[in-house]
Amino acid sequence: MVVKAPLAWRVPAIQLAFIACVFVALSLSSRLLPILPSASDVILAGVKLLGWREAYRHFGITAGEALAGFVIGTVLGIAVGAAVGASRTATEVLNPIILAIYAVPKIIFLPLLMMIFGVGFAPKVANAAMHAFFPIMLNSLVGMREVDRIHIKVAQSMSASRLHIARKVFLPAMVLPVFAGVRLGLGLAFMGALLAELFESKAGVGYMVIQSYTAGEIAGMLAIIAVVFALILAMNAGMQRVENWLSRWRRA
Amino acid sequence: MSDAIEVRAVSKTFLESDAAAGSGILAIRHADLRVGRGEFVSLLGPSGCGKSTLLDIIGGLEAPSAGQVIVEGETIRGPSRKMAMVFQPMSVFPWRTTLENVAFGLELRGVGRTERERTAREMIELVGLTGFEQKYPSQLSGGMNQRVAIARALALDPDILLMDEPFGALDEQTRRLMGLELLRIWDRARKTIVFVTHSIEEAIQLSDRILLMSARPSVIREEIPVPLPRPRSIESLTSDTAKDIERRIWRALMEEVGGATGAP
Repeated sequence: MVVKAPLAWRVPAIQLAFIACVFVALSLSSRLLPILPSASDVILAGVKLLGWREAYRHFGITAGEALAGFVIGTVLGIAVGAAVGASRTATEVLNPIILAIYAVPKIIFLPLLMMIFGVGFAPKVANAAMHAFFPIMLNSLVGMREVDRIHIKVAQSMSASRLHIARKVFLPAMVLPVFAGVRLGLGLAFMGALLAELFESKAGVGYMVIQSYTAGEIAGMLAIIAVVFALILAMNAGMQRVENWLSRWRRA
Repeated sequence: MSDAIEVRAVSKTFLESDAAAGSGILAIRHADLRVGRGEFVSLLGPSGCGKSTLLDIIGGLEAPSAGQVIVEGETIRGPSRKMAMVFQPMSVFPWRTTLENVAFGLELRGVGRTERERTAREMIELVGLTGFEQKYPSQLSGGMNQRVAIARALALDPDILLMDEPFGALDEQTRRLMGLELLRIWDRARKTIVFVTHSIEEAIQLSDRILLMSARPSVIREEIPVPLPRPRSIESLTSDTAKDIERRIWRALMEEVGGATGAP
């Protein structure tokens, strides 16, 4: 308890100091490598970016692709993970295959997705879904396998039906492991959407990054990256709050 | 007095998945036992001797390979409302508060919220946890969680409690105190109790009768009455009668392992 109070400000203080270091490093490196913009250039470009209406449309498109992919990946991931995890045989048969695909960078499937879905919104959604799917599916599968036997036994000893056991034992027991996957999946869905845009796009954050790069506006490009970084920070903080609420029974 | 539980010639063979067809592991061989209404009987034996399996068979969670279990005149074919089981402390649901844990069984039976919470509160009072209704298991000690598990079983108002090493994970002191606490609850709730344990002292402290089980394949090798007066206290265990019973159990256990070492 004594440690906790200073920790509350120590962490953000160190984080701010870290960001300051990045700026100092950036200004130093821009002197050594004139190709790189200075920190003040990046800040100016950032202000300009936030004042540019079109930028919001691009961010909106990427967010739309990522969120649509995230929803699809979550639904499929939980369904497949729970179905496979429900059977020991299915788990043992499929586990090596799943782990192998998990280890492969999913971007490798993008050409295939573009063949199927063409260009535009759909292949980005598909790529985002593909990225979100695996951690959610794996966590659901493991969550399913790791439901405590004794809890199932308690319910069975009280003549619980299969539906009762599913709803009152498996469901609550799986909330946290599944959510851990969902949290990873949300970040990866954004990654999937952005990556796909970098390869082929006419709109979106990836498109803006490529456009700035080809136009030689490196300060603008770094400003976009900084905004993406800030959005991901905010998103993670939000997810952390949800997780704290979901795991309230764990805190003593 | 009629019997609450009658176990008739129960055997249990577990099929080993990778063994040759037709072979298996004989876990329990021809177990016969009777438990009278309101009696407190312990199944005492070493770890892995099949005593928990026998309890699962009585509770209807496992089917016997041969023989039958009769509870209050009815053959057991699955879990029965006449019985409730208590497992180790970790069996409480960590995501449920004390109140929600105790009300779990009634929730399964479709009892309405108001009524099941009223019953749950009564049981929480019976096990001495009033004031902890809204706490989660992570906020309670192991002994308190075991009270929750007992209250959860009692809330179903069974005639019989089947307890599978309920205090096995607790430290020695808590374990003794929980034993006395269980006797107090038993005295007020008037249930028949079958109690599985590997602790000789615990069996003596609690039981009317001890059934001594041998290692696999498990048989009930001896029945030992415990004529200690009730209500029992911490001192009960230090009486000469208790010492005699303990010696008798040790002698039987030593014969079991080969007898060369002799009784202490």
